[in-house]
Amino acid sequence: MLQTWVVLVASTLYLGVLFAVAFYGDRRADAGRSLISGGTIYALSLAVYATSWTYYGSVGRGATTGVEFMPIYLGPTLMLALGWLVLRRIIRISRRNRITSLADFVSARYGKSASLGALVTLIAVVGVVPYISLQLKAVSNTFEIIRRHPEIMSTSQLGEVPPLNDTALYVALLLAGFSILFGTRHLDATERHEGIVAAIAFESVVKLIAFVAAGIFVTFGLFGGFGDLFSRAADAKLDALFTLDGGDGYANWIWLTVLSMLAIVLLPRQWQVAVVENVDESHLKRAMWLFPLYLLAINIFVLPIAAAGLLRFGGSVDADTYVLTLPMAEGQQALALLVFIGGLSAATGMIIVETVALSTMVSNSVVMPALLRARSRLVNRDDLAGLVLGIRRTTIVLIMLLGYAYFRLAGEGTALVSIGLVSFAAVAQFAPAILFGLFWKGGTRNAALAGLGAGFLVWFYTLLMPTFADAGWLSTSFLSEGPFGLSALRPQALFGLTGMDEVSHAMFWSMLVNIGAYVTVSLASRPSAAEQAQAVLFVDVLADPVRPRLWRERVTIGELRVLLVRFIGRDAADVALRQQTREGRLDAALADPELIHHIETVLAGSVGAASARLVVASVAGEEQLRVDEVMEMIDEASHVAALEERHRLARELHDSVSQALFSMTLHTRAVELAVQRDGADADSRVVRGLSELRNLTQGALAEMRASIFQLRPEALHEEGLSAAVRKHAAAVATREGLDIQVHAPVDRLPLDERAEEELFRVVQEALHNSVKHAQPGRIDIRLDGHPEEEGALLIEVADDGIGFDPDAPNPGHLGLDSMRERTQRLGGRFTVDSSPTGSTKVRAVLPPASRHRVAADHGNDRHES
Amino acid sequence: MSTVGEGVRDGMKGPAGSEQFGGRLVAVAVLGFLLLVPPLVSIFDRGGQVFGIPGIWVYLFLVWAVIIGLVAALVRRSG
Repeated sequence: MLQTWVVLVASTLYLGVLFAVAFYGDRRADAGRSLISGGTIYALSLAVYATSWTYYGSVGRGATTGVEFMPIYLGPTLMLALGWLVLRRIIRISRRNRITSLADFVSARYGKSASLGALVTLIAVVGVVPYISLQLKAVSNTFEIIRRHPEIMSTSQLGEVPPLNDTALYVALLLAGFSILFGTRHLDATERHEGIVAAIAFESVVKLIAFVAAGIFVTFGLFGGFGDLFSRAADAKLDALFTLDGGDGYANWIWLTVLSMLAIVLLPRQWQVAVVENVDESHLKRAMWLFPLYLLAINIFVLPIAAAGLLRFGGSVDADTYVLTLPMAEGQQALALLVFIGGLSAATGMIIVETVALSTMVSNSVVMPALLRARSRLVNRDDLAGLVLGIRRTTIVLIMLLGYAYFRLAGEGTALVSIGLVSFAAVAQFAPAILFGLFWKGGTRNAALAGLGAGFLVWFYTLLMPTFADAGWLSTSFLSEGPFGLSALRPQALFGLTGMDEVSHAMFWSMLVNIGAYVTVSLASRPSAAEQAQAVLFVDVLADPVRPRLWRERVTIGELRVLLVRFIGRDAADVALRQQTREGRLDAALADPELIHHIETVLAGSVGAASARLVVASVAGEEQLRVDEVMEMIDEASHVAALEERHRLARELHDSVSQALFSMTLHTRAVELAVQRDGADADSRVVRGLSELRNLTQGALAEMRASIFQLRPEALHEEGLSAAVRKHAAAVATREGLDIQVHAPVDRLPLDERAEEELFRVVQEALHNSVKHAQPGRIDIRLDGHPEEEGALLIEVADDGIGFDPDAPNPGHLGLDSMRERTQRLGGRFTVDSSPTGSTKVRAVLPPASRHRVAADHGNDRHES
Repeated sequence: MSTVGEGVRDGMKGPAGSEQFGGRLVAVAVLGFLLLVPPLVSIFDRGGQVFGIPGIWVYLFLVWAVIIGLVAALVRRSG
């Protein structure tokens, strides 16, 4: 018989090995030689799906309902086949936006809504804590079975252990330590924990070997193989094991398949290993077949063990423990110890990943947004990274204790499988918000809130409250007669709907209200601007959209650096801003929108999307976007593509045609000189031809430069108004053979972008008018301080050609109206001095006050919009 | 902010290849779903036996293995 101390020493040794593996994984990651760079480790880490619920519970369920346990593993197989469609999207979205938890994902999808993130976290915690307690219960019960062998215990007797003798408590505390050590080591922008992934993969191997070893022993050691075992089971009238149970069973079968398809993605621990810890999308490809293969392997012996247990023990032993009790009953101590360790690994793997995932959610989606809202000056604190980690560590301990408390108070009455399914049904509530959100842009924040809220309430009422009744917290009449005797409200037969098991019943009602509310509210309302922007980002992720701009420059790089240092530390902040430093931008410079977005993304990795938005808003000012603005942004995104194309064209024209034309003028000039040197007659046809040719090429070159300039209007802002006007004037002068003089100071005029743009158009239009209508010989363009008005700016275009009567009716065709409008928009005065007998002078005067006001208006626009 | 190269890392022969790969995987999933839920499952749910082993048990594991094999073959072909 196994001594208690042997079990304790073996368990301790096993957990020690686990620590070592995790430690080694982290060390290798720090050294840049990742252990988990292959798809196999990724696939094995997904096998955290197989908890002690699988390890012990499948046999228990198999013994009572036969093959009905199988959909729970068939569903993930189907979902992984769809992984390329669904999981890859989620992984890419998460990587691109540095989303580090499921709650963060939902929150980010619907306009970075903090309330949505909090609701998802609440559902996840309430839904998953019973599942954690289930793992603790498995460890505690199996330990008691070994300790009290050969006494045969009923489950309720197993529960009567004083807390301080309860292995579950120590396991819980030890695992809390493990999660804290490897799950909250530092605040990392990606939230990856390679040590934990390595440990989980290791545990997956251990539990598979242990379970298969038990299966082989039972099937081939106790019986003569599958055929012998099954025929003896048939002889013993255990036919129920081998049918789907007809009628009702079919509906349950389908629901279980769907439920497990959703759970494999939506359980917080699955999300953590499949999405957050994924280091390379291509790993998914191997996991798509390797992980289902793992599930197949671990399930082959479930039914044989269940049948063998029923044959061996009849009903005297809890079927949930057959895997352990069969080897023990046969005196196979070493195998029993291996099975116990396997069960321990199944439980610990699940608990570790689940607590890390939940702690990220609680800190990033609940506590940080609340703190930042309540005390916005928190952002100015120095060691925010420490604060976030502290919140996570506390959360891990609290969740562990909550799980333990649930296990002590309520976990005894219910079989392992039913608690697991309750959790599956809880996380399935995320499905509409996430799956619709991935493929449909119309879903809104309120719709997600309504769907999740309604689905969660129905789940709570129809599935969780009955387990309270089972545990004796509520009277059983609540189940049999409904609350206050209202039989229509019986939780397991809502509105008289019967003929389904409780999980199918709860799934039907909760999905009905969840999807119903989501779709109805979405269709009835319009998404806000921020929601639309995020929807585009998520739904079109594989189409590689241009990122919409969400922030406008109102903050310096230095301010952002300070912010980053507070949250992620100096080194990580330097890395995040390396590009800026390399390009020689100073901390005093204004950050451009892309940089602010980048910083927000980096922060989102540490504190969640909703918190990051609040944090950035605290320095950059809140940006409330209107719908039209976002529509504009989306248009802008398509504009950007067109603009980039134009830039490319401009560059190419400049590099090829312009250069060629330039060489041509040089060559022509050289030939001209050579011919002259050779003493050719200046009036000869050759010389005149050459001179004509040179003029033509020079003209073409100027034309080309003007065209390139038109292709890249923002050159205006890069070079300044004076330089742009000079270039344009030179082009026109060459083309028209005119003398055009530009009088402007060397320094750049103090104008903002909009003013530069408008004034350039005014000059352009005036020049065009002169050339077209006045037949001038010379044009003077003046851009300078006003000689009489202090601080005012004078823009003047004067020609020596034929004038016109500015007061004559319908001079609109001359573009005067548009010039006047442009000037007035800037708060300036526009005058035309011309007569049919004299020349023309077009003047725009910008008084200093108007220039300031323009700038201020511009600032206000930004602030309000 | 390196988003460049994600498309390349797909390891697919262009977007058309990726689309085809995705389409075939969806087809396998749909096939699996059809084979694994009633009414098709119920054909094998009549207590029959194959070499003394329950037919439904054999059928479910067989379909399971075939789906895994198909996915693995598609993944291998996609490179």
